[in-house]
Amino acid sequence: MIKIKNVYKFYKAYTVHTNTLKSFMINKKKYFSEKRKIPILSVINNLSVTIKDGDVLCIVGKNGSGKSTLAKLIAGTSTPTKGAIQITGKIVPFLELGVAFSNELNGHDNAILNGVLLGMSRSYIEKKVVDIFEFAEIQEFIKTPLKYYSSGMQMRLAFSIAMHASGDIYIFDEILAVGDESFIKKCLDFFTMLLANKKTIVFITHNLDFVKEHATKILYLHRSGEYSLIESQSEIESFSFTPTISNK
Amino acid sequence: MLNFIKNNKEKLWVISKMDLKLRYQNSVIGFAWSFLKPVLQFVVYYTVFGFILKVGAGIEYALQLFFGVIIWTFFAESTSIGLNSFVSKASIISKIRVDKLIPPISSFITPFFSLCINFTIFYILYMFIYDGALTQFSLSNYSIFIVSLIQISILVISLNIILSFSFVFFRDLQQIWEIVLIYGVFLTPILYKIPIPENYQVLYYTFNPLAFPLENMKIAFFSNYSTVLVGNSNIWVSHTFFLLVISYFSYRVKKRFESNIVDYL
Repeated sequence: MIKIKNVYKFYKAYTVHTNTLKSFMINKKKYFSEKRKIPILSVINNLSVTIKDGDVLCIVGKNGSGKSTLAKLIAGTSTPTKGAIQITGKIVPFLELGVAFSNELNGHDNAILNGVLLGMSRSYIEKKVVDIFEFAEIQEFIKTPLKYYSSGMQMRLAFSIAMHASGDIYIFDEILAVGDESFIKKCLDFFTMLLANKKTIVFITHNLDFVKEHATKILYLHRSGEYSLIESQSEIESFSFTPTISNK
Repeated sequence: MLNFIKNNKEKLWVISKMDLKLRYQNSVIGFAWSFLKPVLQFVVYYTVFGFILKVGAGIEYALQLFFGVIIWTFFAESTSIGLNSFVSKASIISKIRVDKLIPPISSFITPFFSLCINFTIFYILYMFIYDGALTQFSLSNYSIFIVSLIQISILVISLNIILSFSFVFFRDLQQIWEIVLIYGVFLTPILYKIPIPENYQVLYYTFNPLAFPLENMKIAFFSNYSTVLVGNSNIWVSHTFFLLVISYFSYRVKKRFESNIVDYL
């Protein structure tokens, strides 16, 4: 379960350029006065949502409306400026695949590193490493340094590692399927399995058909920080990208 | 801290191990560089300070110099990697939820592996060529060695936390830290004993926090080395106070920035 209570996320519109300690010390007063003048962008504005176990929450909205920021807040990589997010269960983020990959390490070591960072135990990954490479259809490259993998192979490996991290809550940031046609089918089968197992899913998407087919809740974010929350099945089925704002 | 280690021991171990692999991945002699580097540094320093400048001579000076070099190499490597630990792992920190202490602490562990190997080499040499090696080790000397190692560890971890967070905001810190390390090698008793007047000892050993544990470690290994420091309670108090202050400061820095450091990466 995810309980988002009165969450705000503000960002400064820009930063005062003081990348060096020297310029900071010389222009200290100016730096602080300039800093106070920076406009604050309200990306998430008093958001309250409860996502129950087994819910599929689709987060929609235009580019820059705060979808990825919200995904990061739920994943715990970023923290709210105000408010609180309570998570019950283990999160598996598919925010960006293979972020911990190192080109110099071989496939096996990358699987261990990424798996441990995703919360799997080392012994569990060692047991599952053959399955991970088999699912990714690259079992013969297990000892090959990642720099010799094609980008498609890297994506398949990253997806395969993440899907082996059994969790309660899965967050997808527009990545549901990667690779060629047959691999995309395997990814979709995995997603269907998550749905069948009543896993909680947070999905960022621009795909209206997907939203209508799978969502149990829709969170429509607007650039001003406002949002609309749609929970009834009939409203989901008739959803289009112009709903009214509910937190204004 | 113990809770942190308990909850993150596997992540710390794997990240440190992979960092170590990465450092020597494409080099011809690989991991051997981690002990070859201090050995070669020792040869250079011994040639200059032992043969040319005649600062010291004999087996005892050579062993003291080698010991100083491996401790300094560990300190310099740890803090240099630690400083860069958030920036170099920005993609991981911003996409996967990891405790913000993991990057600076894993930057301590990776060079610690090398320190253990270098220390083993030193210890083997010490046992074979130092007269009185067997009689030197008493319970008190072991205790001094362990306490000094803990002091160095606290110092390095605290510095790593402060430097890693600060470097995200001030990118010229790397250049500044390199200069500090260049001065540090000459202002710390590594290459020679530094004759500090008694009145200034508390001041010196407090504000050069590596010097006190380093000197104490040498006292534990070498019977002819000065024993003034171990018995000086004023230095113990002021040095401990300094370590407490720097640890607390690193804790405050972590508390202040851990929630929003990702926004600045």
